Amino acid sequence: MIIPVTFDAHSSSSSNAQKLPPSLAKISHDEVVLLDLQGALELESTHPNERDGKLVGTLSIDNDLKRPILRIGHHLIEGNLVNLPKPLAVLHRSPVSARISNSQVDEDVAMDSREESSESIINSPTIQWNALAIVKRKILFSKRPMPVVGKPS
Amino acid sequence: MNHDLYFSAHSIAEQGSYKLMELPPELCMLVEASLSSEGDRPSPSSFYIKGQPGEDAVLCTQDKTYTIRTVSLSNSILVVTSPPDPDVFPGDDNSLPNLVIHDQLSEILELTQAIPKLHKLNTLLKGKEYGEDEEDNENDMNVEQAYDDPKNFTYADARAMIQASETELNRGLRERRILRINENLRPISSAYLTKIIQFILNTLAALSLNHESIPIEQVCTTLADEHDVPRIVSVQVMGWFGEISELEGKWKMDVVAVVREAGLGILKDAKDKSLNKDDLISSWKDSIGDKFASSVSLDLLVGNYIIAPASPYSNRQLIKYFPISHLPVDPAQRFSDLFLTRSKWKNEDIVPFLSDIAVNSKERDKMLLKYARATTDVDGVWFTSRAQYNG
Repeated sequence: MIIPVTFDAHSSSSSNAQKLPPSLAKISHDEVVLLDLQGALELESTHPNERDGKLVGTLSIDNDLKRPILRIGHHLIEGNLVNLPKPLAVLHRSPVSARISNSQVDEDVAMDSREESSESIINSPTIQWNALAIVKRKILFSKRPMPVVGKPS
Repeated sequence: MNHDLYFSAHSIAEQGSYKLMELPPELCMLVEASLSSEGDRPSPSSFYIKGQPGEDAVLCTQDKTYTIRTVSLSNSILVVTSPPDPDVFPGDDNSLPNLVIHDQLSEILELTQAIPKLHKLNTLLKGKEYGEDEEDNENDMNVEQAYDDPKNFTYADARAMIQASETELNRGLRERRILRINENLRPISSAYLTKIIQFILNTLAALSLNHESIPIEQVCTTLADEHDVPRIVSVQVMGWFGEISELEGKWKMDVVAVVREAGLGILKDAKDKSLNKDDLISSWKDSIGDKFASSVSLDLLVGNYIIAPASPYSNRQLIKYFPISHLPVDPAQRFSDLFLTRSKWKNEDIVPFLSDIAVNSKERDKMLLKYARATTDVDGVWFTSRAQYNG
């Protein structure tokens, strides 16, 4: 099995990507930012897709990237910018349709059928991974969350 | 500067469709070079993850192979971007752009450079040797039948099934003396190879050809006419033992490689019997001929022979065929075999038998630390087996 992993600046998925707001774009990459939380986001929902499109919280950061703050519900977490020990590639899986190798083979030519079968060994996986970004810094939220009183924004 | 953070509109669908992969420095440079290349359509850097179900996956670049390991994190990392579709998350006129979370990850893929896994070729190509009697076999079979035979293993099959980069695969096929005949991979029989080398040396001598610039066609014709060696075979053999310039039709013979192969042939012939070192050297020189006899040296056979410990009764040194290619690939088994053969080894003697399983000298030294015990005495450092505690 062969799964291609492409690092292509001009791939179709990234050409649609919007850029991040300027202050976040300066962190490491202009399209993707990584937030590192100790723990995980917990959800209360009856159905998994209830979370689609729902507000999680607010990320605040000033222009000189000094004090990133994440506010989720009643919690306020302070973070800071951290260099990654090794750069991380952010890979995104995109479904690729299997190539139809039959349509172009001339049935009279017996030789082609051999080529087609060996080609299909390489073409059979229907998934492909594309690297969206190489990220070298992330925002790490490692402090204990502080409870906040007041109306969540 | 506040940014509202949302789950993406397709959050549940996107779950699991993102992965983070750590890039070792040389890979990072390679990738950045290709991502930043300017121009209309720079050729994208494309790597491949290869593996059969049941094998550990590897990532292959053009010329290197990396094993992939999943490392669990106690933290979660959120992959955050601006919304791909701005209309889905409308903000107020004076609010700042929103952010969406595509996925939450608690694993990272780690890459470590590894040796290409070429040993599978041995099993896949068993029974497909190309020997001297090949011509007779082919005449019996219908040519089309031979072409479509599903038992054939082609170059394309190798690319799909062997966990190695293209450069490493090609080098492996060369080093293992595997012929490509009409896209089928056929290892050449060792006896046939020794004969062909002899034919080539004889031809060079007979026609007084300069070994630095040999006309390819002349050699092929002579080999075909006088020894029935098909052109497709002689050209590939010449390619293994020197440089071919297709433009000029000339072959520059690699003398050392040819002399080495001739010596290997003599060793292989003796099979399990030990040869007297002086006898080996003299029959080797005879087979090579005067012109190249000066290149004959036991050093050329490093990694393929073992010297029997000197007997107190004689000064003769006995040499036996002991090829690295017959040793197990798994490090623990390799060391176990080596120590069964000799209970203690000097560094310079054991190192040649580790060259194909260690990526570099640092890895090799780590292996020696792990699987052997070093002791020092009057004669220097000796490696011995570590006690086996696996019951």
